[in-house]
Amino acid sequence: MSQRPFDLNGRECFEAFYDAYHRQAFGVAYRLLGRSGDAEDVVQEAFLSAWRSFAVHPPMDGASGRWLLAIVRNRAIDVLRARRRRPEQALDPQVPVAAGYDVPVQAISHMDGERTREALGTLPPEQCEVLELAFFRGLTHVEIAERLELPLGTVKGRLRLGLSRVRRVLLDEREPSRSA
Amino acid sequence: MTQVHEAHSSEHEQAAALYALGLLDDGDRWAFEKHLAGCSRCQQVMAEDSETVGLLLDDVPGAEPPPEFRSHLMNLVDLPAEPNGHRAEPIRLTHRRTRSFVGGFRIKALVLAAALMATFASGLAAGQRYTANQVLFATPLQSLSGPGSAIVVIRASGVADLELRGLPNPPPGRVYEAWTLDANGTALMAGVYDDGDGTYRLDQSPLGRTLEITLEAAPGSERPTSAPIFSERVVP
Repeated sequence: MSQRPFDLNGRECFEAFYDAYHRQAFGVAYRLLGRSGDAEDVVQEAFLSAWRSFAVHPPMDGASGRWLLAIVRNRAIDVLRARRRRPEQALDPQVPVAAGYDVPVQAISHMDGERTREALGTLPPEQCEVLELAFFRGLTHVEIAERLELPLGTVKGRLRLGLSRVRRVLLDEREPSRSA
Repeated sequence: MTQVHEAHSSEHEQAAALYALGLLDDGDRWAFEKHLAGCSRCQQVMAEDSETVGLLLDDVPGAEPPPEFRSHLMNLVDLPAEPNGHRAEPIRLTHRRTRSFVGGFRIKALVLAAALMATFASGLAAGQRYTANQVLFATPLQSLSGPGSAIVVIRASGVADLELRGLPNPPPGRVYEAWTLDANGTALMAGVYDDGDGTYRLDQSPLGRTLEITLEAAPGSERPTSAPIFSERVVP
């Protein structure tokens, strides 16, 4: 996603901001929530927040898109956690994790972004698994530990290592000279 | 108030990943932020992890919302102000309740902190160098009555500190209380202090809002009940 500076102190500029980022924002929300209605709610809230916030505190040049996506993800995770608090809508109706189920493979297949898919493909399966549950399912490290029946320290360690390795791969793809 | 920072450890680096991923609960998050303020290594790790989260978000394929979504959103943006100057409450499509009065504050603070994190990480990606404890800007509050000074300090990590200097200690049974006010004048509590001299971490970011300090009955009020002693809009 290209990072473009926007002056959001006007309606026309806000429309341009919307036109530039709404697909990415909706993609992130839908990716996490899996339901179009919930994704619309989250994206609407994020854009309204941007409209109100940028008017008084414009972001630094080029940061507005990532600002928006961070808000979309945070709010989508709020929705995911609210769903999990409702017993009748257990953890994830679409992706049950049964014994022997290959979560890492499924995780990779669900992350359609090519760079992300490649980066996750370089991870050991156990790191990929916890990172997917944390990043796209919004599970806390405590919930991941309970779900996978792992010690909390193990989950934290895998997240730390997984995130670091993904970072290296993603940055190397952007700047091949880094690894040369 | 003096803060003692814990020595850096691998557990803190693990916490940085959890922080960037938004996985820490309120208690753990504030504890980590306290450590973060004094640990340059964790500031660097946290900034890198936040950037990684941004890179992953960038790579999520886009999807098109329904055609009417755009016009609906723009209609909400165009909602006229009411005669009392308050903007009509936008229609909320999400029917969530926050856990509590304080919980609502935390969510708003999280969003603002996340936004600053994203900005911070973008700066790093662009080759700019920040440390999380670096001061982005500081705003002196205008004194409306009484002695002393109050300054709000916004740091690159997204946290905000309130520095009170030379205010008399509040009388018995009273406390100083900080508030952030939005454009509609809605006040949210940002902290309660029983000392007129000290540096305090605000419970929520005052960015883009007006920060006020009032004198309230101990242990603190849910709404400001007296005229502000200090007031200023907190913008760069």
